[in-house]
Amino acid sequence: MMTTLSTIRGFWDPVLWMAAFIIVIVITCYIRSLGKEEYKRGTEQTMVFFSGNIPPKELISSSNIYWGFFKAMEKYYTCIRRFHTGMVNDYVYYFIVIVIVIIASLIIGGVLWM
Amino acid sequence: MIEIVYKIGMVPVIAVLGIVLGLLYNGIDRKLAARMQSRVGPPIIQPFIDIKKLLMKESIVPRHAIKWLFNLMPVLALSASLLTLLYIPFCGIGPAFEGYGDLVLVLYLLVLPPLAITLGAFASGSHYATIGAQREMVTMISYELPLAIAIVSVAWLLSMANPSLPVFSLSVISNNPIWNFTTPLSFLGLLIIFIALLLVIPGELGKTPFDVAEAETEIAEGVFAEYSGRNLALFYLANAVRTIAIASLIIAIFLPWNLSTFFNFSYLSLLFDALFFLIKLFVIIFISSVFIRVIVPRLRITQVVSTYWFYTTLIALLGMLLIWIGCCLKG
Repeated sequence: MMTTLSTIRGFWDPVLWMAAFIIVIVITCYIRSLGKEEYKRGTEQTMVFFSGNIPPKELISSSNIYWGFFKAMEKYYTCIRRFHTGMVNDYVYYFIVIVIVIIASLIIGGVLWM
Repeated sequence: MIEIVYKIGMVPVIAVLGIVLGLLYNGIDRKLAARMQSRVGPPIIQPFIDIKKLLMKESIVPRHAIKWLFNLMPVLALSASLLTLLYIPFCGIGPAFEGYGDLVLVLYLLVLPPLAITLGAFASGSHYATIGAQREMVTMISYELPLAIAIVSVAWLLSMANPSLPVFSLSVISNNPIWNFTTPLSFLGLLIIFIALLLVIPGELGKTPFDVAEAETEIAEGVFAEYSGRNLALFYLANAVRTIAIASLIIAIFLPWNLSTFFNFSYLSLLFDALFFLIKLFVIIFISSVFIRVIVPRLRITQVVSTYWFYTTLIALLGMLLIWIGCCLKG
């Protein structure tokens, strides 16, 4: 089909994908329509669950959202922060080392000789 | 044109089959897990009853929620899960959309449901759901690395064996079993990659020991804390369909054989292949979901990160290294 996009190894057809996506959305919406729509708006029912207590008035800010990432990946961030010295010289060293690693990988993998 | 119409016509068929099989295997999963814990457990059709019950319940939207995003995400989660099935060999036959999407597309589609769960949880404005969403994202970031290493290793092995093949095509992968191209060393590497992928499945599906995003006893269902009624039913269905999609993907890559390849069943071959596929599906779900869930308790979120980023990635890298050495020795 003309709409199939292909790279050297991969391929996909966005038009067929979109057509299928619309069909599955219709199926999903049909299943959803089988369910009950109404609920008691404006009552206590719509308060978020807070273990039986009244939830705090302040809403969750974006800084709270990042807390979970920093906490869960504490070891990673501790390690990464050591590299962030703020010195341009260090960043140039990192750049050179990474370029060497990439070129070495390409040479070992034989990609540069193809 | 007829081919396209046929493919479009297959969409509802695969969708219904995916939902029914997903719920059925979910029921078997729960029954087996209960038996292994010396409990009677619910009947196998319990997931169907749960869906029916959820559809009868009120679908509450919290007062501070972003309503449209909160309601849209369950729809997106189920739609993406159903869409994934179309690109994977299913029930002993090739992918419904064979030649129109590859393994990389499948990997992207597999990311969508957890992303939808995360966005829906953030949109709810609940504290518990926010913590759950953070955990869901961290889990997702963690298991993507070993998953990518495993997929690249398989494609690499196939490209070494035959450089002209479109190695990310799932029909090509399932028609050319990768075990046929291995040396003893790369066979071992592939086996290790297979184990790494089996460890990724419970994380992908949010099952114990990686169900930190829900963690009922700590954060009251986390990401789903504010979902009820039909919205929760859609997430439930999405998870069931995703179980089938991921297990089918593993089967397509590592266990692609059909019975009809070895025996001649004439016109019944499609039926036997489908039955054989269902058995393979059961084995994969049993090992990666039921067995691991029953024997290992829930990990902390920091343990989930280290399990995937360190141990599983290390296992996957070892497998990749063995495949590479094996291929180099073979020349």
